[in-house]
Amino acid sequence: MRILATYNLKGGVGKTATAVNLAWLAASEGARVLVWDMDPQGAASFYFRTRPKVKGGSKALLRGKHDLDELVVGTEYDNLDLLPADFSYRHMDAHLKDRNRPVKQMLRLLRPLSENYDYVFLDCAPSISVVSETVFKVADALLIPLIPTTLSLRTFYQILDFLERKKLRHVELLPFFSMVDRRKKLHNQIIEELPAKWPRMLHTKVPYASEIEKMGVNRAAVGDYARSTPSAVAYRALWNEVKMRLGLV
Amino acid sequence: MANETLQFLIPARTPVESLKSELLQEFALADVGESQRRRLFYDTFDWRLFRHSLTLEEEQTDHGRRLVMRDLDSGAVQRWVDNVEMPRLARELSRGPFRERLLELTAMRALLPVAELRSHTYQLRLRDKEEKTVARIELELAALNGDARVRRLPKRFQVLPVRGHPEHTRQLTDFAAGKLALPPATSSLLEDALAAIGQQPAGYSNKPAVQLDPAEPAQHAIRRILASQLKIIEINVPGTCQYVDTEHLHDLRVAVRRTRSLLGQFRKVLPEAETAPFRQEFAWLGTITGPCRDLDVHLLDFDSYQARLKPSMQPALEPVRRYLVRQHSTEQRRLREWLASPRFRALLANWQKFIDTPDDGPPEASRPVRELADAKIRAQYQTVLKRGRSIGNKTADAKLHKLRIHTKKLRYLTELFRELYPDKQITRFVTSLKRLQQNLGEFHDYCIQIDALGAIADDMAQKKLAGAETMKAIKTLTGKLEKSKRQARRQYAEIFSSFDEAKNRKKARQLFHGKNN
Repeated sequence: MRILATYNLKGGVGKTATAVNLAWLAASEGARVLVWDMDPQGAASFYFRTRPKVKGGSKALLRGKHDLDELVVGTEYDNLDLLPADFSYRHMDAHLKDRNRPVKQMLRLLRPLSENYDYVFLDCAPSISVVSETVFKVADALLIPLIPTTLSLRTFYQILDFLERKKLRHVELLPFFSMVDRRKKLHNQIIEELPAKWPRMLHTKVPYASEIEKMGVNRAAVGDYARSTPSAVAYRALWNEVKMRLGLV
Repeated sequence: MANETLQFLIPARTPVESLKSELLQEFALADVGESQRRRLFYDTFDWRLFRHSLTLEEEQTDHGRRLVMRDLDSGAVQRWVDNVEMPRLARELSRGPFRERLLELTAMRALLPVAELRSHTYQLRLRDKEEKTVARIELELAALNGDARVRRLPKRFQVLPVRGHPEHTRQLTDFAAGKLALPPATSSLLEDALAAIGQQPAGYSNKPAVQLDPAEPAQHAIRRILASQLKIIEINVPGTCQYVDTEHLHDLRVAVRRTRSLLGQFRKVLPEAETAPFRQEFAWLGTITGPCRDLDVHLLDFDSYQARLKPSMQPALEPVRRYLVRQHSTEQRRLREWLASPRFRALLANWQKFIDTPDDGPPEASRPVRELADAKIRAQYQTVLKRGRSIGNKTADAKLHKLRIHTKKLRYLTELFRELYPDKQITRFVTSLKRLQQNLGEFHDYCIQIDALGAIADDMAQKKLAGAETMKAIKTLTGKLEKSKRQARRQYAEIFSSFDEAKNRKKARQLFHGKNN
């Protein structure tokens, strides 16, 4: 089982769209996939038409009162399941802090899933917290969508600083450009500059596109309702690149 | 959920449309529409998927094609992969979880079409307030495809659960069983389809269980066992000739070896004068099928050969693969000719005639089979123990090979007569024997591989088929195989002594009624 987290300190950069679309692509290739919507805003749950509610909330969940497996629900797609969000996840940080050794606790929750799933996507909330720090420790890779803007770059460097300070070097960092608008001069400039400084960046650029925005209307993965559009093609390319980087192809 | 009935049959006279109306009146269902599907079911020659209660199908609709692995009974999707054609072998699929699972189930066996259906399906979805599907219904009208006559299968009402919503599934199944009074389906769609074309699923096994009566005269029992082996040989001839996969030849050869082993061990049960020429002919069959099998094994092992080398050296081994493929093609052509020859046909026909004509003359022909099987297994077990104990660190390799042959003979005896013994005990005995056999087999394989690589290297050098890089790769690989061979040899002592433990000997003594060990 591979654990892939979609993360950025900044909100509105396309984390959830990435988690949902890559999870859908993985499932369409024969993988059994779980998306854990860790963001109390519950956007991934919304896309999967599921009420953001978890029995007992994050406290019960982290106490191990229920196995994660019991809380999982199916989605519109075969082999793609969801662990929904819950509004109480906003206190997850405090609940995780209460536990001794949060990483161990998180792994204890995730480990039993390995028999049922090939991939777990963790769709994280936009913050730096005990939760995100724990995610950095348990995930195999961090998918970091970056809008090519100055502010977005700033948060990326903040993430890198944080990982360096905490000596979190094992996790594979997979930043990529998201919501790219080629008509904007600044976008083009940053797309040129950043890979020169950070050559391990993924090459795929997910465009800013109305098909992606329509995910909220269709409540489905882009590839499901707009299969041949540039956005669907970009997510497919992104997924192939991720698999390549993780040695899965 | 596992035991809940999810599939029901729709009586032939009940129109699907009226059933659909009743459902729509009772539940707030979304009518997703109707679709035409072509469902082509696949399995291996020995029904590996069916035996795991799974089906594999290539499903084609107007929207595209997908491969689907389903649970046989519930029809629930276990895995699916989009836009992919069914490969001949699982390993030909692109890397990914679907391939890994299919490979785990089918290994080197080819995927063969077993039934083709055309179906018209009505799809309904039960949705909650969030517009989320919480259960699905499919009303399927399937017909067999493949010949001029269309054969309709019983119409099906299927509930497909969505995880986390068992209450909705129950509402639908209760309605199907209660209000609609639909009978539960007692067999799966695939089984219905196979029954309609007169096919028996799981009809082939390379380990047929011949029912034996312990008091049955030995000759009858052995002739029946030999008949079962002849069937395995015959059924695998077409697959061997067409090279469907490597296992047809493998199963054929195993059946030949079992036959030869029985002929050798039961000389006093079968008339010696008549069996002597068959012994010779089956030895010939073993010889002519050998080269192809050896090349099959090299090709099956090839990826593991490459994996033993560092990545930069791996491509240098490719000329060896090409050489093996060419050799295989030559040997396969030769084998096909042998298997079409009058000599081979005569062997099978005469052998069948011999099996069908009992002769009560030989001294042990009418001895109860259990008694004879006990004696033979005991004697062979003693031989294995005696030879096994005599092997030390410095014993010549040839002695280990001899021991391997004796353990094989013991394995054949225990497997062929296993019906005479309590299942649990005989399985335990075979398991401990298998461990020893595996060690000896590994050691033997390394010896064969090292020798074969030497011969391949010489031949390739002579024919100028290999450059310096390839020769270096072969040399490195040989060195690694030598190391593994030494390791297998070192493990032998521990594995044999575990097989030879007093408690195991005692169990064997009890099982085969022997007195002295």
